Amino acid sequence: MTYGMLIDLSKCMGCRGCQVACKQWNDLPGEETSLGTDFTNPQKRSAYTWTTIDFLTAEVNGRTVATFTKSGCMHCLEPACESVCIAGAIKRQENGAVTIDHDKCIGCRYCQLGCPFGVPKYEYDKPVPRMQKCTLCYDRISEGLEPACAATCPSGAILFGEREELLALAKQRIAEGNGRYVDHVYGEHEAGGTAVMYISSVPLDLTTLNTGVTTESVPGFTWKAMRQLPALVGGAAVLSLGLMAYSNRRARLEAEQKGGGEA
Amino acid sequence: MTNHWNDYQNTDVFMVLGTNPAENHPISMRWIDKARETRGAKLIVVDPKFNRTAAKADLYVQIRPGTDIAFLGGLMNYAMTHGRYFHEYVAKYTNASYLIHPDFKFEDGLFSGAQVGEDGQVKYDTTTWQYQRDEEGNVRKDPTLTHPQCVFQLMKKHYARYTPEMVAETCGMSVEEFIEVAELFTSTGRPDKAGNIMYAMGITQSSHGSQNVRAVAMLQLLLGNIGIPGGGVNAHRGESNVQGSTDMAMLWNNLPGYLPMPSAAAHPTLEAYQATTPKSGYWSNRRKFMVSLLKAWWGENATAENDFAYDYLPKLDHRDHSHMSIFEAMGRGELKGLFAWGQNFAVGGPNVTRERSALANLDWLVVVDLFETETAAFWKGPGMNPEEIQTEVFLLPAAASYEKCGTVTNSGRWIQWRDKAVEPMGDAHDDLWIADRLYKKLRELYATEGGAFPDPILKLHWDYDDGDHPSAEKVAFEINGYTWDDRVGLTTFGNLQDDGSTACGCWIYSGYFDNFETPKCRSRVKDEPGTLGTHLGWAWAWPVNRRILYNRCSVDEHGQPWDPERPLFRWDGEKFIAQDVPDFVATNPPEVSAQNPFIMMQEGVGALWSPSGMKDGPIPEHYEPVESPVTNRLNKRQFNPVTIISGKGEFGQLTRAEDPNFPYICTTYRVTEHWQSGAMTRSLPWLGEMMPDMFVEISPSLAAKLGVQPGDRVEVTTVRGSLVAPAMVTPRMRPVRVHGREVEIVGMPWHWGFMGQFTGASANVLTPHVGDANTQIPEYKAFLCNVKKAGGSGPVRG
Amino acid sequence: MSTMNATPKPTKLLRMEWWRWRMTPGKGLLLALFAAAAVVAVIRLFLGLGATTGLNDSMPWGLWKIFDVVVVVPLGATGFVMAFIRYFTPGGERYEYLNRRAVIWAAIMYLSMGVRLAFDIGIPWRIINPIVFGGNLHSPLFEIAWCVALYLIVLFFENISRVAEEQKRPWVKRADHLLHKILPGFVLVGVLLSTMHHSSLGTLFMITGKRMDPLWYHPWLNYVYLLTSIATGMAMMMVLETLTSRYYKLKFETGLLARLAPWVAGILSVVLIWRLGAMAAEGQIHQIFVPRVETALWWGEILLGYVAPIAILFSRARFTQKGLMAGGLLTVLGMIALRLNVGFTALMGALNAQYTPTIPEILFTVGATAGTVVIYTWFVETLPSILGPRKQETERLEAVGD
Ligand code: SF4
Ligand code: SF4
Repeated sequence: MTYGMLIDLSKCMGCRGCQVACKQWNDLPGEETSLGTDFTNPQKRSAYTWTTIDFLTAEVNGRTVATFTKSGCMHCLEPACESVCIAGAIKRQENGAVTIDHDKCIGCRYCQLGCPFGVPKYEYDKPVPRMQKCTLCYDRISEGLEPACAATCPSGAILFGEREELLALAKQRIAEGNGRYVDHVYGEHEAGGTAVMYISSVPLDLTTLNTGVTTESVPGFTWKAMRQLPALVGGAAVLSLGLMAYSNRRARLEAEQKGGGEA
Repeated sequence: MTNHWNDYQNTDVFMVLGTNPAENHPISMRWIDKARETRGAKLIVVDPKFNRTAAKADLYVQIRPGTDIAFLGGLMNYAMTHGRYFHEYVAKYTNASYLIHPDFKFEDGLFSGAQVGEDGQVKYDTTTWQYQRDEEGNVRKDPTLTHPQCVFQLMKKHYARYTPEMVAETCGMSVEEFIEVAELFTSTGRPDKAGNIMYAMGITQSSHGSQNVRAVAMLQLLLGNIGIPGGGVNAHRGESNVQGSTDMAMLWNNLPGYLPMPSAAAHPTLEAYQATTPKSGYWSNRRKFMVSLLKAWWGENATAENDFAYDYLPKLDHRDHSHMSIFEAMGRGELKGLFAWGQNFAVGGPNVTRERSALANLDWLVVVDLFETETAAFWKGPGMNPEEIQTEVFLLPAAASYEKCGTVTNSGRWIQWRDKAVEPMGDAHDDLWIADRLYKKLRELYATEGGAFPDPILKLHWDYDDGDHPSAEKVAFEINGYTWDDRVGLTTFGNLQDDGSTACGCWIYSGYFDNFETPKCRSRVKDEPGTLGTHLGWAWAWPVNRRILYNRCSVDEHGQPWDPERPLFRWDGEKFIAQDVPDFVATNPPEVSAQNPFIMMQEGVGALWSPSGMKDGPIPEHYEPVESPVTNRLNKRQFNPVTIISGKGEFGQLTRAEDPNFPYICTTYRVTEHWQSGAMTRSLPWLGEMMPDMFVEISPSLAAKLGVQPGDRVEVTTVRGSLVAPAMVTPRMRPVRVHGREVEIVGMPWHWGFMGQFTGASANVLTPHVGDANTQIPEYKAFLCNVKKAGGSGPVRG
Repeated sequence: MSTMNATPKPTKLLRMEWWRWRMTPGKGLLLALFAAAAVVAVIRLFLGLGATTGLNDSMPWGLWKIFDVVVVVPLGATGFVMAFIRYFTPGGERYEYLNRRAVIWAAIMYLSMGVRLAFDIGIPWRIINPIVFGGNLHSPLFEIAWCVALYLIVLFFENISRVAEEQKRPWVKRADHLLHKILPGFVLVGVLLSTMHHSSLGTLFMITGKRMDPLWYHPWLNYVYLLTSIATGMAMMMVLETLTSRYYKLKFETGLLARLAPWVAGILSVVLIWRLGAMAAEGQIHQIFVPRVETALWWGEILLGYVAPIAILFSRARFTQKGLMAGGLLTVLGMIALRLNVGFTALMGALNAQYTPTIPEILFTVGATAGTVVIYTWFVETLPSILGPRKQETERLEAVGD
């Protein structure tokens, strides 16, 4: 069963309770920050900040629009991070949470490159660093609790549950919303489908969601090449052996021609 | 709040005016959203700044700070002239039909009865504001609301000047925007719609703050939105327990439960005090509340013979003892010592540089707080010279809310008990412990050394010991009230007596803690789903667990709910089917209680007109803030004539209207991430990292004019002081068009100070030391400033 | 520092005949750089990556990954390409001595890459954990790790004869003889492992999909990498031979290398056409005219790394040492340019990366590379059979010039 979260951006009011709850549950330190151009702070996610509310304030057609986008791991159904992890440290658990085993991680940071959402963050400042990211509160949900952010959110913007049900709910809200919502469940297809999904009442390009992300399953990008390795190796072997046979034959013929009487 | 948070789910149209629920009361958005989701409710936000609530609004309209009465008056005018008020409700449940003194007048910005003092300060003689009465003393009424001297017609006439055009020009919005709001909000002026106005400091912190609140209440009365589910005049209290502390007489002129504080001159004896008890309405029981209070405080020493120790009760002198007056007195060296108990006025007070220096005139200062606040450290603040300051400061470390038990009363008046979760750290102690020690030491000193008048201290009924720690439960029991002889907890203030047989520390709380085992404030039973969400089994709301005040008004004369979908009560011919605790005698037939729907009011009806409650007029009139960029166009008085321009001395620097040196409107507010003066939150890394630095919000147009890039430092100056902070250039701020002129608004949070982990300039170095005519609440929200590029960029800390 | 002074004193540990390496000022400089890299490595060990490199969350892979692994491995492609030519193509015997240098160079590059990688990964001592404790079969990186580890074993056997040839003991001779019998088997394995990991180095970046800049996006980047590695294997040989023959006064095998030149040029042509074709198929061919910094870099790569070497190596210039050197060098630089462009230029925009390598970071890369050259000279000088018979047998093997 795949659990997930449905984040209804129309409800989020940017209180950042989720951001603090995440730090509290996961025992993450406060970071050194300073004022930015808007309220987003820490201005980037890091190994010590797994989720942020990203503020975007803009003027659209003479009206001010402000959006608050909760960022964090999407818990892909087919996680790129898992597929590229050299050590097998990243696992998509049965309940849908994508987690990192710090004892296995060697720190190659391939997951950082692979994740289409730029989620995993590394403790670059430590001599023995860890790769960190949202765990969907794996420890909590395995015990039947909601993730800390979902439990905290006062406005009910973060719903936790089974992905299928949340997806149905998202579609229902869109259908019954009388045009209140943009007709798009972000995460239904993004990156091949994710366990964390969003619906929004403002066009998604006014949020900080990555609207340019692929809808294909990302592990397939490398798998299509990996899959051909046996054929490639086979081909190379045939070529090598064939050539060798040919060369040997030629060498023999040449030798025979030269020293004809030897045989 | 007349209603409560969960009740927001029953609203059809919300108007957020001078509050910022998404940022400062995030949980409220859950219920606002529920109403939007389940009943298609609409959210209107009217605010000078496009705040986080505005981001969620269906309709956002910008308003110039301090012009709420113009706006609300305009809405009333719109409702009355377009017939969009709730006629039956207005006619029957308010004093709209009451006839007013024939000599009542409003001229040149003054109501009749004005006595203009030498300094221009006005005091009113309210004779002409009173009701007309017949020979028997009954108020003369015109149920048709057509008599020219009836309240309704007087209001109509008064607010006729508040045309959409005038409102738009004054408030800095467009006529279309005003009409859009007016249409939408007055759509609730019918039986089956509920409109809810939420407000907070944006309304109250004004030189006409009390009249602002009155205007809100009047609009709601006109629309029939009071006493009904989903309606109400809903004050969002600024602190988790500020409702509780107000109930317990935080204000200087109150006793617990909003009993008026006796004055030494007017009420020398208990009898003189009791003689002022209202003759009608529920307040006619006030004598019982007073005697029970005295009994609770002085116990066996309070007897009928000694007027229940009335003499021990401190009384008011002729002076004002509100915050600003105290500091002005301190500035004059009239105060010796001061307790700052969970108060950080060195950040939160108006004109705070002056207030900080005033602290230096004290001999001693006791600060009880979690951290070393700016108040405790005022002597090392900016511009202070520690060597010259002789004040002895004591800092008592206090326990945080999770480190102590007791109740918290929320904005919806729910009283909820909290247990202690963890032990306080280090030497910190809970407030009760500190108060208990302090009292016992004082008692000991009075007992051994005597004093001018030791009895009030020595004879206090102080019986809270539970082992070596005072028991919060015992205090709660006393507040709740009990029978003196057998110490049985009272379940309602209806049982209070004026003969000394009952003791009660706060009559409105009577019933919340009537026993130690299962007090109501500990109860946690939820309603069945599908009901109106009154949750009578969850905690306990004062008074008598009533969730919606004046709830008689939710049904018509015959006891039928105005809206059958929201049946808070329904008379089935024999009895009321109730979802709330009735604010009327429910055993009477509805026609009887219909005479008295506002049981707490002397008139028994909602007061559109206030004949004697207000110092500055029976109905609100628009005046400009004391510091305003424009002259008042609605009348000839620039600002509230009754407002006390306090501290004519050093506290009193003010800027005149249209002063070219201070061309911008300045306003202050809070953000989600910090709390009040930041005393707690500016030392918490998780909160500090989100809002590390003080900033000044300006519009892109002002930034362009000043040549300021985002993050550049700007200097904001008022006649009182200046601060430097980085600019946040944001379309959240926009200039307003006022009377044909574009005026920029500069906004800033006021959370920062020089102590704690996250430091920055305090906005209150800019704010004026001037307050509301009735309550003296400072005008923090609207004043004049100038902004200049300060050079450099990035945060200014320390 | 003179040659004489640099001669190490005989020690008990090292028998004289084993220490044939000569210090020269040039090598001294390289060694100094190598030492600096070692210092950086130690600091990195104690202070972590953030303190020593420009790496950050916006740019997880920097110089140490993109150059020290992704570039260094194909620099060592000499090993499998030359061994393939030596053992599987007709007349391959003639390439015996070229192959000897090719495989020792490859072994050094691969080993050096392994060590460099250890310092790049967050927890260096876990570098072999995935192989020891198991890893993730879906990960191209895991596949590369395995291939490289196994290929190092192959390289060991491809090189060990040079040591054996120094030995006089009969059992060593017998064993070496046996090894020669089965060596083609090792070579075959080496070739197969190499086709795998050279292509997989391209696969690595395919995970970024079309986030990559369209100028470098290629649906089959793995094959582009494989083909350019093969070309580099030969081209690098031209460069290596030029330097080695000059330095050690060997005969430059113009004829043998010239035979490779059309192959290099041919492969490059195929790659170039395929890259352009793929871009056209994606409808992105117009990108090459969009004025951007990226476009300039792309043109630089294509003109200098493809067009120029193709022209040179197809032309008669290939029969000259200069021509081979130029063509080979440009091919190698083209390979480097492709890998740097894919690793940095094509991704930094997509990742919104803020990354500038730090001085220590660059020093490490430069120093480690300098180190590989020093080590190469050490092997070549210590094991004379790598160079094979000299023009003048009598002349003492000595480094001359720098
Ligand atoms: S969002 Fe990124 S880190 Fe999260 S599961 Fe997907 S690929 Fe992995
Ligand atoms: S807790 Fe909920 S409402 Fe608050 S910021 Fe997070 S998602 Fe938004």
